[in-house]
Amino acid sequence: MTRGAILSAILHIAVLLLVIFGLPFFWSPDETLEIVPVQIATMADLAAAKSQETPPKPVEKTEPKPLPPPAPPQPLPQPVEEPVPEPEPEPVPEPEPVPEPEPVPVPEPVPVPEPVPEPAPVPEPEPVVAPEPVPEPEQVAETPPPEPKLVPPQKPKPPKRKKAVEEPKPEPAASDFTSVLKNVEKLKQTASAEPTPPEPETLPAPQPQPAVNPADQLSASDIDAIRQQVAGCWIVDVGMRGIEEMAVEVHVQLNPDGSVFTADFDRTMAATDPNWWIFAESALRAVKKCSPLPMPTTRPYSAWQYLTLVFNAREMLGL
Amino acid sequence: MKTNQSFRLVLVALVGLLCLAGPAAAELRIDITRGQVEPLPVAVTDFFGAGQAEIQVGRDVARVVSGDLERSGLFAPIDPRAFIQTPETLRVQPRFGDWRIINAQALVTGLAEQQADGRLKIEFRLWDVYGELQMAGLAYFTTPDNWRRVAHIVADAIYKRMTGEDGYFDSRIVYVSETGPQDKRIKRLAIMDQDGENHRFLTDGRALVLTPRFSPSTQEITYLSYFNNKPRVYLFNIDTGQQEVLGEFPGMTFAPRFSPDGNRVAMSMAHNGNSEIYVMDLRTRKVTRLTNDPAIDTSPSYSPDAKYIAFNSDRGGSQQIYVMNAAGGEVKRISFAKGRYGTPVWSPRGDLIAFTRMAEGKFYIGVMRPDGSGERLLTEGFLVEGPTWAPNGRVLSFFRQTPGDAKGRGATSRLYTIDLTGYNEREVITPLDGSDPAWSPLIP
Repeated sequence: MTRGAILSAILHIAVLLLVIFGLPFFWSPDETLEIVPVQIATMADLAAAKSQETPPKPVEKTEPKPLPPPAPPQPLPQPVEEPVPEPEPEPVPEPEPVPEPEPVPVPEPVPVPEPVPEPAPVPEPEPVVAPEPVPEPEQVAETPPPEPKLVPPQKPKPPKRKKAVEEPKPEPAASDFTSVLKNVEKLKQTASAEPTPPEPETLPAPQPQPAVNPADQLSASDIDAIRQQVAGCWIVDVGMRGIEEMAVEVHVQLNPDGSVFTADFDRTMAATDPNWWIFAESALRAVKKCSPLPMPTTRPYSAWQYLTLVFNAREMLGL
Repeated sequence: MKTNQSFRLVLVALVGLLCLAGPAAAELRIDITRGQVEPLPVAVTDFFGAGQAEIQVGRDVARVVSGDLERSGLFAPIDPRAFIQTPETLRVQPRFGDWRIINAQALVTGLAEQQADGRLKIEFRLWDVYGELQMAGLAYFTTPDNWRRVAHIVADAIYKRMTGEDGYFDSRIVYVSETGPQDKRIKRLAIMDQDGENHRFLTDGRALVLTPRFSPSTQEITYLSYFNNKPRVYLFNIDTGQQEVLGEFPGMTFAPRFSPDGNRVAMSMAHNGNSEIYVMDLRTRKVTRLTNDPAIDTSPSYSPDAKYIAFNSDRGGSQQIYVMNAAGGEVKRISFAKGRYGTPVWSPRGDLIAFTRMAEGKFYIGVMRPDGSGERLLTEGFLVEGPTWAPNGRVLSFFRQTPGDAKGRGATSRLYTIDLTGYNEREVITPLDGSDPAWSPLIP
């Protein structure tokens, strides 16, 4: 009986403690989620009148389909046993009255296997011609501890200013392109109308936070600092075909100091467009280059240990 | 009994709490909707060579690869003087930390090796510096004097792996080389690698030549030449140097362009003061008329799927761009802004049509979608004309003339390339003045 009572008391206390201390923690990410979109709108407003509110999830999911090979599509020719492949550079038979010999037939590419990391500086490491590709030896060597952070926190660079063509004549251009795609006509308009919208770097006055557990949540400026830094690391090829439609989620696990422990993109989002892999790689490079991220160490680690970054270039394209 | 009940209650409460905790521990999500429009820093190291000759080739190949990537505007090769790791130690394995320090995001290493049979082996590897992975690796065997071409092929492979698009470095540009005073201009067909190397003349300049166009499938050029003062469309085989007139027409033929499979040539013929568009099948030499309108219809250009032809016509009053079915019919106007539009050229990747626009005394090179939307003017000038697409549809070449004095002295005509984003405009250096560039397909 007493044992039962004691057990009951202990459990009651545990529940009570959970309610007092545990719940706020459990709830906090949810609150954060609510805040993010609100803050985006504010930033965007400040940044530029033209930028529209970012939809919370502009990610269009394609239905799950057989994944393309994880490695981006590359038409690597099958391993050739020997360097025998190409139609030999026979002297080109050319009855040409014009001077100059023609280029020799295209040499066939032969896939090169990965080199085996050899500690000893052997002068003749001939792993290169090894007939079958050595399956990624260096991955094995990878150690679990996070990378030494060689990259200091990047200062987000302001985007390239377009060079304005000073031509006061504003012409009605029926185009929806923004600065990343040059339009001579458009430039004329913007040159006379208004200078490039200022960067949202100047943080606005701290927003009034919802009263619930302010200590645990990432504030709007916390999130904006992360966003700014990653945007500064992400190099986007805006001329890529299909860029308007592309989006990728990069799942990041962070170390307590904000450095990136693991990061990978969500392969289930792979679009049919092979360029999607290139796009996803660029996002992943950005995350790795940006390590360590400016995580608010004043907030509990658990509030930001797992981070999902959703990349799309729609704002750059004025969409 | 009572304890048991309260115990159960507690359990239920705990389980309930756990259920709540599950979904609430969702990840923090942040949208990244902006990035940098700037070239990707890449380190192109000298390809390793053991002997003196191999060292030289390795250096030359790296220089050509680096130059190609740089000119594309999408890559920023890092000054080799900043490199920490040497080609010798790179043969074993890159020390990625050494490359991150100098901000390289991609690393190119390679090897040049003389083979026992006299051939040259050129091998490259592309590394992801942050991912610490090999992204690509290929080897090529060729004759030693073919190293430059292999270097372009290597650059194409790197470009493709990094951008997703096919490269365009292993290609050539044919153009009209010009020299002499304006009233006695000597115009010769000339050809060069896309980077200006290996320049040579194809014709001797006795007959005036205009508007060369490359066949998408063969080493042939079609162009307009004035022989005995009669303008005709000709066919020229680069490999054999052979030249032939394309058909006997009653009137003057001009503005030729190949179909995507290279088996047909669309062109204009002016007869009795009216220009119409015709197509000739090169195998059967059969000629079909595609337009029938009292207005001037000219400058036909096929869509890459060969289903449509873009052309310009003044049937609506001013010269504008139209699209019709490849067999003629269903003509639809796609340009509507003020000014005149000419020389539509369909992109090989199909998503855009390049054109020249003339408005308010200026010339522009622009692009629009095949339905006429999204018009964007990339560059402007006193005279910019003759857009032609690189084989991957990413880059355009055109020529730019600057006016001379009253007598035309000091006028220049030069070739340029520009990225379809409108940035990265660069001159292509030619020995003399140049006009009417035509980009070849990738060399087969």
